[in-house]
Amino acid sequence: MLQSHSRTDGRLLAQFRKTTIQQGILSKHASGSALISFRNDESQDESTSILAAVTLQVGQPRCTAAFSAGRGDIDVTVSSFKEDDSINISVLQSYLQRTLDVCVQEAQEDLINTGEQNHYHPLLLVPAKAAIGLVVTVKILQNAGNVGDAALLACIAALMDTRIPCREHGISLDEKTGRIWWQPKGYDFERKKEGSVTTWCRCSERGETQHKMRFPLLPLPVTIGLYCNETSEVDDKRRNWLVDPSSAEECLMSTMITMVVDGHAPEQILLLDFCPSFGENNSICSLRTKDLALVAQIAKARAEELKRILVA
Amino acid sequence: MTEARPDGRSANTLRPLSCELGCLHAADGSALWKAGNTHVMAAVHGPIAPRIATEEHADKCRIQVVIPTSSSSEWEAFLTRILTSCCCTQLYPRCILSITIHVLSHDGSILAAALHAAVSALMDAGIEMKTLPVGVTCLLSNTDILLDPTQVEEDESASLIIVLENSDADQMLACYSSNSLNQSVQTILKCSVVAARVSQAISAFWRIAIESKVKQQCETIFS
Repeated sequence: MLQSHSRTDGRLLAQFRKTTIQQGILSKHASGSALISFRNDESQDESTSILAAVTLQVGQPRCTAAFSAGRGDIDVTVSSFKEDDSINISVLQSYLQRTLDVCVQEAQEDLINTGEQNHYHPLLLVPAKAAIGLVVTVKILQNAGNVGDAALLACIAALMDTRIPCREHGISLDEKTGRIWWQPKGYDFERKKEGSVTTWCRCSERGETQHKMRFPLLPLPVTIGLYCNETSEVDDKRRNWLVDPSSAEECLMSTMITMVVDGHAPEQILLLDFCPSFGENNSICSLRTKDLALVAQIAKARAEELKRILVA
Repeated sequence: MTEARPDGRSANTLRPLSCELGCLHAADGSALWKAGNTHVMAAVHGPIAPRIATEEHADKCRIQVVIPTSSSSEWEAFLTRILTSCCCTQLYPRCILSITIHVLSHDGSILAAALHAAVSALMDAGIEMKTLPVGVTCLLSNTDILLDPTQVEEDESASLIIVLENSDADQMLACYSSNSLNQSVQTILKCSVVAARVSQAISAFWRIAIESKVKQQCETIFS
């Protein structure tokens, strides 16, 4: 069923648009950036393009049960290049915030552990006093459908491109003025202890003062639309699945499903959101057990493809 | 063996439910839904003509859900979509149905309680519905699936709310996960099966609440 029909833009029902990712596009102005584009080859003018930029701010750390000394936070802001009633900016912002918070929480530094496991979060500068906050700014340049997936991928790619200052090069906090001082480049790094932890940063090997974070959890999304055709006599043909729906198709869907899986272990589902859509179809189209299993299979294949693109 | 929960419930037990219909006389329909220490009040105004003409649809009613105390607009959009699909909106064209939800006491499973309060208020307002959506919050702990978690339990682990149609595990209307689940699809399907068993109790409770309200009104009219 999925392979026998085609859409208005010429794609098959199970065919995704071509995904291109450009990282470091704003390298002079932001700590990390990425431009994502979902483009249909046959129609070059219509594409979903999202630009994400990550900047760093120093502020109070967030103390949690997992990180008692505190950890850095992430703040997402979404805006659109031009007014578009089909996008609910606040809902998209809330969705990105919820997903990226999980990703940043599990982030790790690129360290050589020579002693016990480092319990400090990579964004933490001075325990319980100062941490780096990631400010992610998302700009919707063009909307041709499936903005949620594109925005999340742009944020993930920008975070992977982000360089944070290395803590091992000496950080001190002047509590009177609230200023944080980093030792200048070329500082003769000495191996030092932080409590019971001894770490050795890879930056010193490369002669750098900044490094990228590693993300053990890599959230990769897939959005699929379900269209219910009540007029069809065959039960299987009443339900049609469209992956990566375009903006015209989104208006007609009965249900929209977004599944976020872990790129390093695609069988693990990180987030699952689906609800009835505001489509023209007035009928209720619920998901069945086998529908969810099908969506999980599609999400797994898509995650493997996206991971290849991100890592390349 | 399943560990005992802090409030002494088993894994599949809901907190005590309470539903008071028609508690707000100024609204067209209202309901106060209580699940343990989680108290949510919903008020329905409408169907009425919208103030701005561009907000109306020519062939159906527009449903608007507002949660003033919530900082997440995702919840409003989630509830709006569910209620729009479940109500017979084509019976009230060019009208707007406004549902305001106030969280009076927060102790976990807020979204499910808000959904139930909104549906109860719609029933109190006499709005015709195609089906009754039942929401069950499932907490995915290391050992088991816990239903109707409290705030303390939700802070420790990820949870997801599954909305079922007609209490059928094979008819999932909606789903929302609050945090990182990190689970397989089989675990999520197991949640829907567990939720389906419990949702029948919620549907039965709704019937009792409506019957007692109608009986009380009859006694008042004919007294």
